[in-house]
Amino acid sequence: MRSLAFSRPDLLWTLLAALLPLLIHLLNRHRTRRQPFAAMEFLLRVQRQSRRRLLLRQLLLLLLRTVVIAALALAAAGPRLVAGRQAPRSGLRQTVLVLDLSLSMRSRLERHECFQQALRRARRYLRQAGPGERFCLLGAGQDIEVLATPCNERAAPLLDRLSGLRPGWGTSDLSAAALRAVELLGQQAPAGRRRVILLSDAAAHAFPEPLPADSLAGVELVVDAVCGTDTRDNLAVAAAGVHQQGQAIAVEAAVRLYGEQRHQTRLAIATLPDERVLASGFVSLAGNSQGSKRFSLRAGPAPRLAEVSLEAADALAADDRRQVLLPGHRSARLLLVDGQMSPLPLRDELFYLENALSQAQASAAGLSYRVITPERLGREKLSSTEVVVLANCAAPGPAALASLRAFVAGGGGLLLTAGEHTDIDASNRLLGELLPWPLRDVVPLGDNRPGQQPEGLALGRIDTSHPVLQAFGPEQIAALRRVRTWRAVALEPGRARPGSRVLLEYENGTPALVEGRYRRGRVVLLTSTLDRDWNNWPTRGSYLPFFQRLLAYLSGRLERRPPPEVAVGEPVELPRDGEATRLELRAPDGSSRSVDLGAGTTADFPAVRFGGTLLPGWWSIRARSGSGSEVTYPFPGFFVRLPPGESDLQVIATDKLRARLGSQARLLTAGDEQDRSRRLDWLMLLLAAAAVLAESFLVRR
Amino acid sequence: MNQATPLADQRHPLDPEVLARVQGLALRASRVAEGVLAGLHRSARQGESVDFAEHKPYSPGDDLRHLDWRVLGRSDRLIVKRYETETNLRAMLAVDFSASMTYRSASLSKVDYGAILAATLASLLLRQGDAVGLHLLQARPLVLPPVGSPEHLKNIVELLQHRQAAGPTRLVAAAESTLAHTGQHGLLVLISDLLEPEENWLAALRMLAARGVEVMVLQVLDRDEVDFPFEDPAIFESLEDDRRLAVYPQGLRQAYRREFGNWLQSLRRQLAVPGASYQLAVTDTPPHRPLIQALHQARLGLRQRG
Repeated sequence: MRSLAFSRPDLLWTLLAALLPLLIHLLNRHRTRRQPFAAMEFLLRVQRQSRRRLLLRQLLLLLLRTVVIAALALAAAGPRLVAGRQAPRSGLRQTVLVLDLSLSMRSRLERHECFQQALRRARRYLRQAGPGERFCLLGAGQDIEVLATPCNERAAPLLDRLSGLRPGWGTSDLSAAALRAVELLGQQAPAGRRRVILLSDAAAHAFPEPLPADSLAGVELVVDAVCGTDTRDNLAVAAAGVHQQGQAIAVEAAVRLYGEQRHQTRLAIATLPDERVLASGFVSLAGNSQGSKRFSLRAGPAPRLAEVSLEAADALAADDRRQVLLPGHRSARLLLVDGQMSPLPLRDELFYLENALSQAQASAAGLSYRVITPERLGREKLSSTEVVVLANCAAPGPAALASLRAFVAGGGGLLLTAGEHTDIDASNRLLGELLPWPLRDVVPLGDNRPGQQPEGLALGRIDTSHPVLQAFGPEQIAALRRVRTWRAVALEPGRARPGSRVLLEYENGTPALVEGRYRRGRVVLLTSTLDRDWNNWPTRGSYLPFFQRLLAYLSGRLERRPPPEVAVGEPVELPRDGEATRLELRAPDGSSRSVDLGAGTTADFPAVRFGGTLLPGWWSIRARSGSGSEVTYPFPGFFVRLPPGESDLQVIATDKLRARLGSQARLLTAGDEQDRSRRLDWLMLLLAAAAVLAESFLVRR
Repeated sequence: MNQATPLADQRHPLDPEVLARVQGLALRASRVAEGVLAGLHRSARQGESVDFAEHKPYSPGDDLRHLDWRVLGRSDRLIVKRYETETNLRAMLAVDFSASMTYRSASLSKVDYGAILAATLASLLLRQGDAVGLHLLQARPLVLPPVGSPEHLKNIVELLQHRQAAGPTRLVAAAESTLAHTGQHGLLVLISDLLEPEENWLAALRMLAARGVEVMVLQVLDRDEVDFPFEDPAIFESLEDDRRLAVYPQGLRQAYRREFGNWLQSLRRQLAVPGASYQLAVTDTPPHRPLIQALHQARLGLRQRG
């Protein structure tokens, strides 16, 4: 049994145009012009003879012209004879249309986007609905959502809902969507014949897990492969790693080919947003393989956003590019103020620190330094400096003090170390709030016998959660504990400034290293010396890495981590750091989001999870303090990456589909449907052509 | 050096389009006459005689020198004497001036075209010494008796030029006036579209030919009447009465052409008798062509009879 259906029933109104010939005829009867004529006798005679024939001819012409227009209108509406199981039937049927909203739906079959094909098919299903048939609409993207509630017998609201829909950038789980659809069908009353149609590219990755047996029992399940079942080749930039060595940057890009055909593609890296190509090259790939390309670049002074892209006319364009952050090469500039400068190197306060900073690692870590005397400090412009080290200095003069205060308040780092020249009272009075903890006096540590090498105290509590010490493993911590200190500046008990943090303590509980905050800047106080006068640290292996990390921390370099990367829809962890209370995120499309980091200590609640990562690309971050001023943040932004699985467009095979969804699942392609329905539009066109021929024949006679 | 020639200049000088731009019937007739003379080189009849031929009642335009004073003295009747020397031929040009002749699809209406034919013939006949009369066929006919004076051409042209075509006509009146003014050896030239419902005029012409009058029929038709080329539906209205008909021309064209063609064939057949000739003149053809054809046919007729 076949019945007539239309692909575009909304065009059936054009059938009204078939009335045009009749209207024109009636209008012409009133608007006929007058023609004077001499041979009227002949006209009258001829008219008398052929009156009936003329009337018949007129009627026939009218009919033929009507048929021409009606046939064309019907052809436009796409008439087809539909086979029994597809024919809209009277009686109740409930159908859930599930639209795949995953990234792979952005892929193309020839010039048509799969998602547009899916919309076209959805509209066709809705328009071919039988009387009483109810439709529900589900969207399967990162989440599964009901697109139109309630399920409707009228196609119009659902068709409206379809317009403006776009696929997302994430994955979809069509097995779960099928279950949700069945659940939705169960909520509909009264129950009738039930059908679920998944409109998808039917990529195998969309069916991750097999459904429990009989979970779809009694439901006709159709997977409508809107982009066909043939394999479509796709290339993707699968990864791009950035490695920096001084001013040299290496970007290692990996390209993955999904498909059997061998491909050669051009790969390029360009800065954003000006798209200036920095380097390019070719990658050759065998079928279903991965290749890589290494770009060697020079770092610019500041970090830059760049994009690795490949040139390929493949099925999915979205995964042909991947953004990276190219780091800058500018090193942290340290100003070392030597409070005990000596022509004898070993007696110089900064001898050991300079040695530590001269090592190649310090250069690689991006630290450069300059040494001045305390007297010069007042004349120095600190704007080009990131960290100032006051090593065994007496309290600075008024000009130097004002300069230092402004420097730290603006975000600079200050390291204060004790020594013979430390003036307790002057320091407390003059440095004031810059000190994380007021000084009390210089005290000996441990059992120090006169005339003997002092034994001193080892380090006691070590705050390994601090960024400076996080990288230290058990061996390095053990090495730290071998440091002996026999003299130190004791701090006023119970008068620590708010927010100060003890990183290191001596065995007797005396603070050895204290961190404090002054506005946007950091101040670290070492209660002992940088040289061997009060401790043996400079002779220990832990001296070099510790002070390199400490100074990097004070310059803000240490916390600069490579930007995190998360997949679309995956939450990103935004650490609560320092003074930042609010983060302003700028999405790749230019829109802004605000993330409140809230109050509380970072130890209890070290990070905030931001889940609105639905757009792929670079999300930049601006951190704000409670007062609204901009503060430093461990990373300038984060990348939201496309889910790699979506690049594989291989269509699931029927047997695998049945293994996942059950034996009643059916894989349908456009061709299958057309095989079962007989198109009648060509017949209508033929009829119109025949009517045109007959009309012109009649007119000529 | 080649120069583009205007399209109008490429036309025949006697093309109706060109003639329509020539002001004055006399000038038009003279041009056409030149064209006819280029095709004809001698008169149909030649020869002179001074013998008295007959009396005839006086009519305006007759030469007063030929008034028969003795008859006038005896009976107070104005009778003029006619001599064989006066003319070789007495011709009556009967021109249809009914409303149907006003139809035009081109630059010249049928009546314009007929007037050119009549004026040309008058010019030619008067030039060779024949007497020419004019009969305007209308509801109220107007007759100029045949006169052989070359100045008579002015009267003929004047009348043809200024008389308005209107109303119905009776073609049979042409035969009557010919008998009255030309006698038995005259010439009747009937210039008409012949679209008269009653066809007794045809019998009258045949009778006239049988009595020895040379009858030349020049049927003037518009191209529309021959081909019926109309496309759009229209209400066709008669020019002479109130008959009208809504017509879908495409449907009727074939039948009309067939019917009209049959009628033309029938006319041609019925006028194919000794002493009569028939020539069709369509208003989009140069007028000297049908005239030459007609004059050739007329000579052929004379030879048959003689």
